[in-house]
Amino acid sequence: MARMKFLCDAERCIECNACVTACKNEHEVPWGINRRRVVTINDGKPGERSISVACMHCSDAPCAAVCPVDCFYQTEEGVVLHNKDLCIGCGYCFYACPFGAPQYPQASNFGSRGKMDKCTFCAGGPETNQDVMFRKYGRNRLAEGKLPLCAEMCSTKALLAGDGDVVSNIYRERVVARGFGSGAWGWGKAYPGTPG
Amino acid sequence: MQRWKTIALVMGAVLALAGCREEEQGRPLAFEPGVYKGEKPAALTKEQVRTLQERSRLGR
Amino acid sequence: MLRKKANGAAGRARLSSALHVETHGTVDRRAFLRRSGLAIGGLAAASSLVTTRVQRAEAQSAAANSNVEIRKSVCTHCSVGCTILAEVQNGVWIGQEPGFDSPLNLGAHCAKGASAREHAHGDRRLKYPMKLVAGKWERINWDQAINEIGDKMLQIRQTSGPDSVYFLGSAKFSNEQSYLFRKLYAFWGSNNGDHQARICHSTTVAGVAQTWGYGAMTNSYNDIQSSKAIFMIGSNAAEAHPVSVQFLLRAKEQNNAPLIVCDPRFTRTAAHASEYVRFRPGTDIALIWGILHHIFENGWEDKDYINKRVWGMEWVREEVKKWTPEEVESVTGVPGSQLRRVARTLASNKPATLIWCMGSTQHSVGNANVRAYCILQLALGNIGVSGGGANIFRGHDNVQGATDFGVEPGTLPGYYGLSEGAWKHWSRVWDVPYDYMLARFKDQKLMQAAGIPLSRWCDGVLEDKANVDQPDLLKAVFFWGHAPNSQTRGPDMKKAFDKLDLLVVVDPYPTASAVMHDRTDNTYLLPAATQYETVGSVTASNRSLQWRDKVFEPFFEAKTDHEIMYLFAKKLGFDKEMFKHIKVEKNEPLVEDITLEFNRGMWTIGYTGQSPDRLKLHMANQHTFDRLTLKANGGPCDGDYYGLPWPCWGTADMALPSGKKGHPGTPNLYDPSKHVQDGGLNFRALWGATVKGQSEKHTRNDDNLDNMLAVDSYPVGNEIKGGHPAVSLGLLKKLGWDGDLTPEELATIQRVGGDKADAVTFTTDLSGGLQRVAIKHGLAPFGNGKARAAVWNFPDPVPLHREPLYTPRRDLVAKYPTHTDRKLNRLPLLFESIQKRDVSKEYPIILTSGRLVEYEGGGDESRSNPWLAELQQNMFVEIHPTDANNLGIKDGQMVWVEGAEKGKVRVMAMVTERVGKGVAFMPFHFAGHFQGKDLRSKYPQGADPYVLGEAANTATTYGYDVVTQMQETKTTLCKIWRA
Repeated sequence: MARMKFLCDAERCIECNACVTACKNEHEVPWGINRRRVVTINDGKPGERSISVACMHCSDAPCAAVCPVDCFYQTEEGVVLHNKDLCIGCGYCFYACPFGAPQYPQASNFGSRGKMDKCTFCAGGPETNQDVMFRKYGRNRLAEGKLPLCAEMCSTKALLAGDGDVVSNIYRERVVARGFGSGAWGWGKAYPGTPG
Repeated sequence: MQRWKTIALVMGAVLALAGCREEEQGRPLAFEPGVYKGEKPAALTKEQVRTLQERSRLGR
Repeated sequence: MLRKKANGAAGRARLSSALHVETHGTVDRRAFLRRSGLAIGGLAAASSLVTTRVQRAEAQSAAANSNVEIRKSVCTHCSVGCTILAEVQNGVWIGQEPGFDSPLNLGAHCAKGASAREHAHGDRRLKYPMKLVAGKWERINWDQAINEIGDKMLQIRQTSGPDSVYFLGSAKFSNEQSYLFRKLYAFWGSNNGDHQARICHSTTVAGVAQTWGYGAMTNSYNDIQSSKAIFMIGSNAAEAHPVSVQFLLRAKEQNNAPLIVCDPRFTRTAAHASEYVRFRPGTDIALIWGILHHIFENGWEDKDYINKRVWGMEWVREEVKKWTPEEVESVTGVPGSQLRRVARTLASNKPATLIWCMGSTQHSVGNANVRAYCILQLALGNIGVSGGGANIFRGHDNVQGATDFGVEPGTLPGYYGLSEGAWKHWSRVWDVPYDYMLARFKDQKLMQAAGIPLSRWCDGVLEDKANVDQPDLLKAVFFWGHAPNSQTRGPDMKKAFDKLDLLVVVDPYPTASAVMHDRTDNTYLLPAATQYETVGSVTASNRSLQWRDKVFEPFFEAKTDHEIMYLFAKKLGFDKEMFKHIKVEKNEPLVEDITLEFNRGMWTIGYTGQSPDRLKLHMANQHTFDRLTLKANGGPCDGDYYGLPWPCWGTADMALPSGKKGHPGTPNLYDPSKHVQDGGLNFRALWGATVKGQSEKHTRNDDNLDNMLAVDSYPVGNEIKGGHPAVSLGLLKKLGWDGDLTPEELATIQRVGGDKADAVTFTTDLSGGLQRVAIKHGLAPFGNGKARAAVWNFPDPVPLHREPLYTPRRDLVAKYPTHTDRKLNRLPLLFESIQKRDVSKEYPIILTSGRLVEYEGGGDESRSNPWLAELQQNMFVEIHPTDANNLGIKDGQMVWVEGAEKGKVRVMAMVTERVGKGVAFMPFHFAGHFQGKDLRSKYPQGADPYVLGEAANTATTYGYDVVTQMQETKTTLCKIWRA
C-alpha cells in the first residue's frame, strides 16, 4: 500500500495560487493562516522557479518527534495529522519542520499563538462528528474518495497528490518527455546559455 | 452534628474527586513520551484506498 | 478540576462526545455542566467567517452529505471557460469540486476560479439598491430606483435626446444578456453603448477581421498542444490565463516546442520560455518586421500558401525591407542576432502558433500591431492549420460573446454594422417594423452613425458641445458590470463623473464608480446577481459556447441583469416590442427564449446552430469530447465539437450531406483540410472578387494580382474547387443549385429580399437555406477569399511603426510620427498635437500596466474575496534596480508615480529586475485610493473591498487607437519620486 504524497513540478508551476485558494475555500481557512504557500526563487530573473509548499507528510515527521504533548499521529496512508485538543500551541513543531508547515491563528486570547493548524492532506482530523471536524480541521476528502483539492485544482497540473507510486510515475513520464534538452547533464556545455 | 459534618465532608470529597477519572475529564492525564493519546478516527478501507490510487492518475 | 482553558472548539467537541455518550444512555455530569457553557464558547472563537460556518452547520445534518446536488457552471473570470462544479445543499453553496470532465480545463483552476464560491458568501456584495442622498448612501427599494432612474432618463431624452444616455455594458453578461442589452439601447434609440472589449481586444477584432474575415481566436487553447513552436507577444498567460498554460507546457514537453516570449517585462510566462525577447513598449511592429525581414531575406516564407491564399504581400515586403537588424535594434532594443534566431526557430518548427493579448492591443497603433502578427503567420503559412493559428487570448469570461452580440457603438449584433440593411435585418428578426426602430432614434443619420466608444465617454461629457457630433453631450451614464478604473485618465474621469446629471451603477459590487467622484445626489447602486445566480450561455475565447446552470438564488435583493433590463424596458415604455417573442414570468425574461431569438438572427458568424438543447447536451456529456480535437466520437453528441464553436452554420437541425443533423461547429478557423460540414473553412471573401474599384493605390490592372478570391485552395469537398464570393441566392442561381432550396426556404428568401431576392445573402436569409445548400456542395457560406496583407480601408494599409504618443525616443518621432489629428466616433481624436509636446525630460520613465493572477479587471470583485485579497495586499510599482538607485528609492518604500498628464498615485515601490531599465510597471486592478487619499469611508457600509489601493489608470494618459479608439495603456511616460 503506497503512501500518500505531494509532488510539485517546478517546471510547470506558474505561481497562480490556485492551490492556496482551493485550500482556503475547501476548509474555510481564516485570513492569516496559509496551509499552503507558493514559494518563488529568482523572482523576476531568468531561472525564476516556483514551487507550492504545504505539509510534506513526512514518513519520519520531525514535528511529531519534537511535540512535547505527542499530539501528532500518522494514518495508515502516511498522512500526518494532529489533535488540536492536545496541542498546547508551543510552536516547537514550527521550529522542527523544514517546510514551515505549522501555522498558528493570530486571533486568540491575549494574542497568543493558539492551536497549531496545518495541511491535513484533506484527511480531516481526529473527530468523528462531521461538523466539528470541519470546524477544527476542515473537510475529509480522502474518506469521500477524493484527493487534496489543491492538487486537483492546480492550473497546470504542477502539484500532484495521491498515491506516491502513481504520482512518481506521472512525474517520471514528464521528465522523460522533457529530458531532451532540459537540464540533461552536459547540455549546458554543448549549448551555452541553456541549463544543465 | 458531628455525623452530618462527616457526611458533608465525605460528600465534598467525593464531589471534588469526581472529575479525576480520565474518561470524565475527557483528556489524557498521564504523559507517555512518544505515544499519541488522542482519538484516532476510522482508517480508510481498502476500497477507499483503491479509489484514491485510481484518482491519482488524473494528474496526467 | 476544570483547569483546561475554555476553548470554544474544545467545548464543541465535548458536546459531541457527550451526545455520543448520550445515545448510549448515560450522561456524563462533566459534559452536562459544559453544555451550558457551550453557546458562549463556540461562536466566540469562530473567525470572521462565522456566518458561513453557521450556514454550513445548518446545511449539513449529523449524517453529512445526504442531499448534496452538483450544479455545473462556468467560471466568471477569464475566457478559458473552466467548468465550476458547485456542491449545493439546501440552496447553500457548500463546496467546489474540480470538473475533470471538462475538455477545456480538465479540472484545473487558477486562484480566482478556485475561490469562486466566495461569491455566495458575498461578505462585501451589494445587498439592496442604494441611492446617494446629500452625499450619504441610503437604502431604497427596486420600484423607487427604477422609477426615479427611468423618469430622469425620460427627462434627459426630452431635453437632450436619447444619445445623451450612455450604456456602458459588460463583458460579464451572458450571451443572452449581452444580446438583450444591445437590444435595450437600440430600442432606447441610441448607439451609445459599449463594453470592455473596447479597452481589451477591439483592435484585435477590427484588425484581424479586416485581414481574413473574422476577428476571433482562430484555433483553441486545446489545439496549442499540437503546436511545434509557440510565439507569445504581449501575453502574460501565466497570470492572465493560467489554466491555458497547461496546454502550452504540454506542447513544450511533448512536442519539444520552443516557447518564445516577447515582452518588455520578464513575466512569469517568460520564466518558462525557451527564448525571451525584451523590447521597448510600443515597438511591436518593428519587432515583427524585424523577424519577417530575416524570413524574407532567407526565403523561409511559405510561397505556395501566399500565392494561393494571401493578397497584397508585396507591399509588406517593401516595408519590411527597411527593417534591417540595425534599425530594429535601434528602435526596439532587441539585438539583431536574437531576432534572426527567432525567425529561424519559427521557420523550422511548424506549425507554430502566435499568441497575443493586451500587451499588443492597447496601443495607438493596436490595429496595426495585430495585423502585423497576422501577416507573420500568413507568411509562414500557419493559419488554418491545427497547431498554428492566431490564438487570441480574450479577457473576461464572455467578452467574446458580448463582442459577438454587438454591445458596442458601431454595430448591431453579429457584426452587421449600422447600415439601413443591418437595421432592416434585425427589425425582421425582432419582428418590429423598421419604421418603429427609426422613430426611436433622433434621426436616421444618428441611427447609422457609430456612437462614442467607452474609452472616450468622459470626453463625451467634458468636451465642448460644438465639437461633438450629436445633439448634446452625455448627461447620464450606466456603469453596468464595468469598473471605471480600467480606463485611462482617472482625473478626467472624476471630472466627468462629477458633471453628470445621473449615474447608475449596476453591479454585484459598488466598484470604484461609487467612490471616485464627489457626487452627492442622482447616483444609484443597483445590486446585480452574478452569473452563478442565473442560467445562460457564455462564449469562451475559442468560440465554444457553454451553458451555465444556476448554482444559487440571487443574493439578498440582487436581480439578474436580464430582469433589470426588463424592468427598465417596462418603465421606458418599450417592453412589449422588445420582448415580443421572449416569455417574461414574474419580471424575469426566459433565458432560453432569448437564445432561440438570437439563433434566428446571428447568421453572419454562425450563432444559429447553438440551440439551448444542444448546448445543455454538451454540458451533460463533457467527458465524451476529445481533449485535443474537442470532437465527440460516439455518445449523445457524436460528431459535434465541444460547445459548437462558431461558426455553427445553419439551423440547429440543419441537414448535412453526411446525414447528421446540426452543424458540429468549427474548432479551427480557415482550415481547409476538412469539409465545411465537419468544421472545415477557408478565408472569408469579405471584399468582393477584385480590388479594382475599391482602392486605386492597390490596383495593378492585372487580373491575377487584383484577384481577391482564393486560388486553388478550398476546403475538402468544395465542388467549385476554387475561390468564390459569399453565397447569395444570385450565386446559387448562377451555379444552378437554387433548385436545392425547399419551397419554404425559397419563400422566406423572397419575403426578405422582395424584388431584390437575388441579393439576399447567407447573412440575411432567415431560413438558413442558403447556408444549407452551400454546405451541401461543400462551400463555406461566407465565400472563399484571400486574406489581405494590406488593409486599404485603414489609415495604414500595411502596418507601420509609429512612436507612441508619449515616447522617450524623441529622436525617432520625426522618422516614425504618430497619426494626424482627426474626428472619429463623434469626437475629436488627437494624435500629433499630443505627441509634439516633448515631456521626455520631465517624465523619463516608460510606464506600462498589466494584470496580476489574483485579481481581475477593475478588481473590486476579487479584492472583496478574502481568499484572494490576502495574497496581494498592496498596490505597487515595479522599478528596475538601476532606476531605483538613481532615484534613491528602496524596495518597499512609498513613492509617487506621476503620469505625463499630471495624474499621480502613491504606491509601494517593488525593486525588481522584472522590468527593464527605464520601464516601470503597475497592476491596474486596484481602486479605492485617489491621488494619495483613502476613499474607504465613501463606500456603502459593509461593501468596501478588503484591499484598496491606487488605480494605475489615475496616472495614465490620452492616447487612442486610430481605428477603434482603444486606449494606449501599455506605453506612456511617468516620473517617480520618494513619497
